Amino acid sequence: MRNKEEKTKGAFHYYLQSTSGIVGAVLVLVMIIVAIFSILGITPYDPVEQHIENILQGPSTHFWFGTDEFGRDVFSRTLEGMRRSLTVSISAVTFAAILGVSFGILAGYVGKWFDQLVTRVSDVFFAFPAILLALAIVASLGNDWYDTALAIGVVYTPIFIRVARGPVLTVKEMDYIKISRVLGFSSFRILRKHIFPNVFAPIVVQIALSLSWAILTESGLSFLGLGTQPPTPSLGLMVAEAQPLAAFAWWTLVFPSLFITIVVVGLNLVGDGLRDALDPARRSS
Amino acid sequence: MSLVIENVEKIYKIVSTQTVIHALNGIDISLPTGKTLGIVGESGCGKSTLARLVTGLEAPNKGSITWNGSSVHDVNKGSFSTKKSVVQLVFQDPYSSLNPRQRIGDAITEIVSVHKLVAKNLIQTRTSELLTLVGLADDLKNRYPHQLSGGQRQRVSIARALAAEPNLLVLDEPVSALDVSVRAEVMNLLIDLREKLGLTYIFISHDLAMIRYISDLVAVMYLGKIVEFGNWEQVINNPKHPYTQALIRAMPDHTIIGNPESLAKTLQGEVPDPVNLPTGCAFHLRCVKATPACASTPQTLFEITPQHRVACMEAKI
Ligand SMILES: Nc1ncnc2c1ncn2[C@@H]1O[C@H](COP(=O)(O)OP(=O)(O)OP(=O)(O)O)[C@@H](O)[C@H]1O
Ligand SMILES: [Mg+2]
Repeated sequence: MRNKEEKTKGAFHYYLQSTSGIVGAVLVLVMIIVAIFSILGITPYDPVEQHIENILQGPSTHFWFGTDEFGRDVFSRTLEGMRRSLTVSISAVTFAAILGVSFGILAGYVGKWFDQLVTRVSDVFFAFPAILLALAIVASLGNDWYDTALAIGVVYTPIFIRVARGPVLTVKEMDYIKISRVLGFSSFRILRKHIFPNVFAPIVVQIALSLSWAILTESGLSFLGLGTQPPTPSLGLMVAEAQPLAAFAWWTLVFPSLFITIVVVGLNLVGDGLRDALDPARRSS
Repeated sequence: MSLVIENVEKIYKIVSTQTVIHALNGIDISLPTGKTLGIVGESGCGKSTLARLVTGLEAPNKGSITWNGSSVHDVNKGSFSTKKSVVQLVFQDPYSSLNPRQRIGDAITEIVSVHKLVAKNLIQTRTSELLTLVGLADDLKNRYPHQLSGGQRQRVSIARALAAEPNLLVLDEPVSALDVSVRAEVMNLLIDLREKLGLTYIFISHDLAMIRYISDLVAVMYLGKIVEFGNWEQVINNPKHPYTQALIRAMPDHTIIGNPESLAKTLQGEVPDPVNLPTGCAFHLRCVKATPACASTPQTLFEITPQHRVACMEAKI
């Protein structure tokens, strides 16, 4: 028990030594708190409530981020949009990671025709630009948040297949796997106890990076009108709606864009920090 | 009770280059229980391939490997139902042999508990017992492999193999990667364990000094074949095959024939490609005693004195 603590403490300790890791964690944490405020309903106004008397007001003490062309509070809508972006991308990445890692590990371990099949199929998916593939899937599914999440999840599954499969190919050749087989361990035990823990690090890093891409994809879909539907806010949709207004009402564009940027940059920095903390070769000691 | 390897052949097909590698070309060995067979030969002669076949990791393309009459391939899988395995394996590389994310104690406990080798409440006791058996302190249980020295890791690998309670231990260059200073310790440990537990060993090495130290019987391999076989006095003190003689002349501390020379000096040329085996005797291209007949006549083992077998027609005369 004592050593288990020491070990997790070890990785955490290394994470805290990385400046990008700390900055990224703070940025992401702030955005998560913001999303939680929205979930709890602690926003200054209802995000879809129209204040007709206050159309296109600049930032003020009443409306911190100003109002849009329907007099809706941009601050409340940005929080709601962040909540939506995070919900969709976390669901999507969870789906992609579970599916992709399972298939990736199995393909690498089993090899032969199964590996070729999985690799071919994921290569086909890989050949499409992410946003186009997501567009096609969403168009055939629908506009609910889980349709978007499923589409993005499918799009990012091949990346997880790749990230999991590669290290499995290396680990599989290690002598301790051969010894495990001579010891009569089941394939399930070998995969779970001896292969998975040794391919875990790159997967964790990939989760952080994929989350940031998923947020961008979700925004892109909404921007193109295929994700979240008005009047429900989403960061991408807000950017789209703000386009014609940006010239005279900059706040409608700047604040949702800024939030997207913060969370995406934050997640990328977290990914860098994790990579450094989990890879013994990158640790400086 | 014995291990019988009969006419075993193993080929590897390389799909990308459409080539066939002849890794083992007809191996016959009979090893009585409690004895140690040393296998020696240059890199690539098929020692590790034979180890993988004997442990049931791979199946031979031809021939059979049996322990007390049953195929090792089946028996090592089925045997855990009778709570014991037949054969276990120790590899050369102490770093690659242990899961880096598993603590030493867990790595041993796992074997004992998965196969229910002792009652649940005795598992920890058994783990400590195994650590003591290989000369390791009990508090190593909580360490990870990277916190151990090479010698300690190799002891852990031996303890893990013993946890499965095998009759036969295949040791594929178990000390080659270790510091010279700890080699003797591990060798002595292996000899102690053999006496204490009544184990049968297959000890693989390219170092004849190690082979002489531990083996009762010695097999000299060249290009997937055994070229000389006998007890160690016969093979090492009275080698008959020109290849064995060259190996012995290259031994650093040999006391048998002349002055030590490097293997490169005692042997001309390179080991031929196992994709295109030479005709006749596989060794004739490098042999100092080769005659024209050697290029056309394949050599098989024949007995020159009881137990001592050589695959060379020059030795027959
Ligand atoms: N999985 C494999 N696929 C293809 N060829 C193989 C495979 N394993 C071994 N070989 C080939 O079979 C021959 C014997 O290899 P093996 O590893 O048994 O030699 P070795 O005697 O153990 O050598 P070393 O002393 O270097 O460990 C070599 O030519 C090798 O390239
Ligand atoms: Mg080898």
